[in-house]
Amino acid sequence: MKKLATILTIIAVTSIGVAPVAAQEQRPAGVLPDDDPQRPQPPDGFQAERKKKGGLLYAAGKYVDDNCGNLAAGLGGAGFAACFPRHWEPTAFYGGKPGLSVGLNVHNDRLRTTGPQFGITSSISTAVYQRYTGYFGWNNPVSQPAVTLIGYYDDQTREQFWGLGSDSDEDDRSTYGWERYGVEAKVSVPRHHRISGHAGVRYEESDIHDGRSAGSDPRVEERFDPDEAPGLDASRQEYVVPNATVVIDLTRNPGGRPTLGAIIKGWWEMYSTQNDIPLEWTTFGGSASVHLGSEFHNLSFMAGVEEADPDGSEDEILFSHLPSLGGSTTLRGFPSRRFRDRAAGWGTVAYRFALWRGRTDDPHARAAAIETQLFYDVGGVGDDIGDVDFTDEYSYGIEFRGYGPMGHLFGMGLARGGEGISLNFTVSDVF
Amino acid sequence: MRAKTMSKTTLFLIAPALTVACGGGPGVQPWQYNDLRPMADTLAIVQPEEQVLPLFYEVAISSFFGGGGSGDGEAWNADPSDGVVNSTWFTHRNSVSPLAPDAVRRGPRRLEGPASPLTVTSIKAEGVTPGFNAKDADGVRWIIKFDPPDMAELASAAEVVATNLVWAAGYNTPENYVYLLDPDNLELDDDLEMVLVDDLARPVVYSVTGEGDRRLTKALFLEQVLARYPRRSDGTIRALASRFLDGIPIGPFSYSGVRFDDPNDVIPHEHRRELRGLYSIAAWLNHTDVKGGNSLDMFVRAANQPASGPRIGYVKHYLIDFGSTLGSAAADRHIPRDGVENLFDLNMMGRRLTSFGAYRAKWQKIPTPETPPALGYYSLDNYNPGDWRPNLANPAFNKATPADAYWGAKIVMSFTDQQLAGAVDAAEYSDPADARALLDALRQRRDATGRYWFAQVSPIENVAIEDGVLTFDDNWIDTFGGTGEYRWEFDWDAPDPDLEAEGTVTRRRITIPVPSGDVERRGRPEDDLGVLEVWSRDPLGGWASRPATVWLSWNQGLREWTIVGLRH
Repeated sequence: MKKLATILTIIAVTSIGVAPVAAQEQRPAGVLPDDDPQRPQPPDGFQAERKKKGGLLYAAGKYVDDNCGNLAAGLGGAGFAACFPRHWEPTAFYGGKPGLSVGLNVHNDRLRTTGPQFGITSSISTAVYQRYTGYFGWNNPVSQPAVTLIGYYDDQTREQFWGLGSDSDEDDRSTYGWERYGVEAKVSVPRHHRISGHAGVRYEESDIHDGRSAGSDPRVEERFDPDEAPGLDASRQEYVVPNATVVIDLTRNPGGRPTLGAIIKGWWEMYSTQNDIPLEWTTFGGSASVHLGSEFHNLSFMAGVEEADPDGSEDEILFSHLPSLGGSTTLRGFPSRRFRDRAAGWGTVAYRFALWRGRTDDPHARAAAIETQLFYDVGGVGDDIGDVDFTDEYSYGIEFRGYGPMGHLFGMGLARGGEGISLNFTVSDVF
Repeated sequence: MRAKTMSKTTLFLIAPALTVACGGGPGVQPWQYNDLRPMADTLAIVQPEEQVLPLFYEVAISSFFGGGGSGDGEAWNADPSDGVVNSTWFTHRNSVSPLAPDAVRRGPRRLEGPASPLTVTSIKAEGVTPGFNAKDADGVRWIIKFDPPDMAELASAAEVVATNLVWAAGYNTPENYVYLLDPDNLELDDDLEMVLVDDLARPVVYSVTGEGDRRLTKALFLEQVLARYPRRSDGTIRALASRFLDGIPIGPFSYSGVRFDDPNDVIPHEHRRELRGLYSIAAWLNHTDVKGGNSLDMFVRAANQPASGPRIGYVKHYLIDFGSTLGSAAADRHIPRDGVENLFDLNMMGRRLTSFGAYRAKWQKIPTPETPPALGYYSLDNYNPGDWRPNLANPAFNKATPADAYWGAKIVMSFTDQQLAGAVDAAEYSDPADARALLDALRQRRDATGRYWFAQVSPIENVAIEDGVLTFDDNWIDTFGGTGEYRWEFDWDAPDPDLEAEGTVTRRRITIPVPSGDVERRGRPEDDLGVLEVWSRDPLGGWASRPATVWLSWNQGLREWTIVGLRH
């Protein structure tokens, strides 16, 4: 504790203070003393402080200047990576949940964004989750078509489950932990291309465990039978999961903050268990968003569906893998994964206005921005797409979003749903 | 004929005898000048160390701390006539002794441009404008910068015009030339570094240490650096050649505080009249990129340099890089937003947030009009001389008072149409219509600047006592015409009883009352001075919000007033 206090004191002093002025060298002939009356004097009582510039902000600025060359290129997305040539790079690359997210990336030191890449990242939160990632690949996937091999460990320690269907009861909340780890190989095209996405395959081990109890909430097995929480009795699984995503970005500023145009997205995952119980299913979905407006004011409409269909002889899909609504991108007034079933559908209308936007001659060019959006979400879940009533639930609220020139960086907001108010934070792709 | 005009103490120093001055800040009042000691900011000092002012740091300070600086009030270094003395920061030029139009056209330039052939010595990686450093046939060193590829002449023209006008205004600037680069007459240093262009968010120029096959050949240089720029019919590429400054570069100056290792630098920069008053000139020229990073301190070595030991000399302060002026934003053209909103403007963000996006700045309602590529966007539209803003909040501009801006506006108004034409001529536009359009815009914005700031003060000048009557000029009337009317109040606490008087005049003559008997001297100089405040009519017919204040000293023996000083 004492050590921490010492470190904090040093940081505080150095961040607000300035470096001490070196003692003056011996004065050569012909140079008057600084305080010689012949020298110009400031008004009495208003002696300007003679302090050399210093402090943490100054040091950070000097680092960026020395390494980024151009500040505009150093802000956000791939530019961020360009800021740290041949250096360890702090990153939120794989972060996606609240909590401290730190990590390291290393890029090829000559070609910067092409060639061999490797790195490790970690994202941890005191009570909610922890995730560690190591990757190796060819090219930086944020800026270049890339091939990447990823190993990961992810433990969501306080997941929640309310049962299946839109009519699941708020009072039936139960908790569980969900641990996964595996490896994934994928090829990808970054978002700033008109057509982007990835194709890959991963091997994953998944285990539902007790996790951390949230207050008086019962654990999931105490609240639900395996019939109500499918797969509860087969909680430890090994899968091979081929998967793919494709994004067609028809906006004026593909990959950036969308101001005008449409984005169509599709995704697909096929789960094949490697255990004795032959659980197999396919999850697929799609979404579309349309954006109208100018560089500062936009109206956005978004809608999406997702469905999971069993493929094997067992007509069962693990409750932990079912399509869901709630959280930081759909039905934002509800907790994460509040509603689950084999199909989900959702929609959003949002009025988005930029508080700040980087200057560009073309009002629809990619630019860093901070925007606020007022949104109204709807959504519902059902046994299949045909059963989904999009208007089962609704929520509304306000969200602040930050964008780099290459796309969304973070979002945080408040939303009200039928069961109360939620505070959301996300660094995921939101369109 | 005027007798006993106010003494012009342009060679004198601020006295140390100041306590807290009136007026809300430590501004030096006219009676606090001391004519016994020279203004000596060229006294020998040991060479200061090179100072770095990181752009990221400047952006952060500007965005979240308003640019920094401390204290308010009037400028600390205004002289008795409410001007400044010549210094290493500023030299009176056009506003005191009008320059010939050809002198404005020539500006600070002492040569005719680089002497061929040029030898490229390094690639310029700083800033947003690509270019390179070079040495010419005479050994003179240059920075060569290019126009945006699809906007030939834009940046080079703006930079030359603005440089020459800022120099003529009185500031220290580099010598900038329009230069026609002949690629066939170009050589490369053997150790030149390789350039890579990485297309991420925007092209970024990287340098990689030259070695082996990464050494940059001329063929690669032509392909990687020069190929993107359009050739003229004679095969040359238009560029800007900026001559290296004389002296030893020791980094930029900050617009707040003083340089810690220059004992000649005693006035915090945000309180210097020259830097505060630069606001009006920068606004006129839409110099949106005026910031610490676009300044440079040069160490000028003394003639009597010791044979050994540290270098001695003094620091001279330059404004550099005028690529983001007039219609140019260096890498592209200016847009209506430029000059209206800081790059990251918390005030504007707050307005947008609290109005849920309904608030729209005026520039948001103005689509950027089609403009000639060489000219960019430089217009009277959307120009508000009193609310102009550079990209980064500037502490000296933030502290500027109407008196500071008026001082700058007087310099702006000192430029005649002929002088402006001379400055524009230096841009060497290929289309005469571009030159005419720029000249029109310069004139319009000049007049708008003058009209605005001359109306924010009572713009009386050249105060004198003639046959016991105070006479003066009126800058507004003398510049824009009309008839003047002046309200005045006089107060002198030294006699017993106090001497007070007031009146209104239409002629520029005010009869100052005189005491009937002896006057007992008090301790502080300001207590012995008579104070005359003069309000002029503003353009709307009301009285100006700020009076001009004239301090007068009574000579009991001669029984006459003399002028001590003037403030606006």
